[in-house]
Amino acid sequence: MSRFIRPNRSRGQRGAIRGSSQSRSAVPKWGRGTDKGRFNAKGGSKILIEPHRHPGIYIAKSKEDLLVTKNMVTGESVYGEKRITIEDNLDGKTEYRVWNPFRSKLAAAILGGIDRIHIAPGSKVLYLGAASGTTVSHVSDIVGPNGLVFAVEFSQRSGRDLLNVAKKRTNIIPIIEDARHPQKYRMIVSMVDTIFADVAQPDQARIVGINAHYYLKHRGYVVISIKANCIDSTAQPEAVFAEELMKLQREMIRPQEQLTLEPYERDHAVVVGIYRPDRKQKYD
Amino acid sequence: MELGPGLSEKTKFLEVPNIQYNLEIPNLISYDPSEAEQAFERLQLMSDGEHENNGDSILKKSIITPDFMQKEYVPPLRVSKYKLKRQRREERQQKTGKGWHEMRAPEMTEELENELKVLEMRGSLDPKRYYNEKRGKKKRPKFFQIGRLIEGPGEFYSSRLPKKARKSTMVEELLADAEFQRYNKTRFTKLQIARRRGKFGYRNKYKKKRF
Repeated sequence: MSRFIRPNRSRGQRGAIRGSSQSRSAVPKWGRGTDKGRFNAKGGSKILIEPHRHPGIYIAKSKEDLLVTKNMVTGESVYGEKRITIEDNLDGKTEYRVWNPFRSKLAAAILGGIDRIHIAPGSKVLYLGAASGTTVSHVSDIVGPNGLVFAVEFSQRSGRDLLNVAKKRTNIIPIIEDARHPQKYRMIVSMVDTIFADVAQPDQARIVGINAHYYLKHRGYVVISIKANCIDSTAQPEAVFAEELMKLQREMIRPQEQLTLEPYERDHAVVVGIYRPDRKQKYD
Repeated sequence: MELGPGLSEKTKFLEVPNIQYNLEIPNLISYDPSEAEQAFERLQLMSDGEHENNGDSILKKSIITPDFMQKEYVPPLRVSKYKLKRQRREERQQKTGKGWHEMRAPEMTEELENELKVLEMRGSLDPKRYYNEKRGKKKRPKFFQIGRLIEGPGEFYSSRLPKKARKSTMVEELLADAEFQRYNKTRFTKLQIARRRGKFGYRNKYKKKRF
């Protein structure tokens, strides 16, 4: 099993945990609203933006480094996040939105140095467990106007927020439905390139598996965030992750990479896998 | 075979289209008038179309454009396809491509270069901040933009610069930062003192004596 899985790149066990393999620079010390003032790039200051290693994602550099995505809807922030505007004579106004790794597992995985996320401009993504659409809005920024995000969320309450996000972003298709029954939204969803799943359910691997069988193209990719507590709160997290990988392999998903989200989330892992790979071929 | 006057056996082979020799009635050369009319119409249509197309296509190729007088040299009428290819490639290299939404490489000015320098040396800006950047491996980005951070709606009092404190570049922000200036000055004087010991100090003393 472990033949395909790369060693965990985050140095979570040894104290010095910050920084990614890509750019080991300052990660802003910010939290979820409550601990204010620690992140101190102030509104109105100047910031430099350069492309990140992952397509569609950028780094904003000043005293701290921030992860940002290019805003599809200029002039609007989705969940009160900071923005960066650029006035340019040639392109007019462009805008970037700051992506908080403490609120998004995908952002945490990127800052943790994940090798590939398989979400790029123009790709079609099935997003399971969209919640209020905070991460979905950033995924929609990444895929841009030529891509599509099918955002599935079961809860009515957070689904309402998701709808509000989707109203302004034409590339998000919100689906308020149970991801356990993918046949219910078969009339809406097309074949997709990537499935991102953040469903935190005990039968997570099965949910991802049946959705992949329905909608994921062959050699498509699966990016799953696993919360060890939600699957088995008594077992060791590592054991839970290993168990989940076995389940994924039974669903014809070959795991390629596993990464814990250590400084940002506790006992979480992100797994990247390829669906129905060619047996003889090696994939990066 | 009898031919009309002036027509020998040889002239028979000089056939002109639409014109037939009426062999039965000598001296007369007849032609089909309806066919000639059609031909004439066709000719007119062709010439009309040609006129329109030609005008446009010729103008497209024309090198005498409104900005002709501003040019330093007369541009070539034809550019080779390899040169065009090269031009397109160079144009393409000025952008990131689809991956990063066609981000453009900026034109370097002194101001932008200073901004990049500040970011390169940001490890020494603040004594309480540490960076894990490798020293020798710093590479200046080719594609970048410089923008202004906009605070979230809930951060009006907590994390916002008032309008007076906003500056147009990072360098100006640093120059306006009193704390940074103070730190910089103490560091500078410290270095000066440190350097004055030993050889440098000795030389300075010597110079003072001399003059």
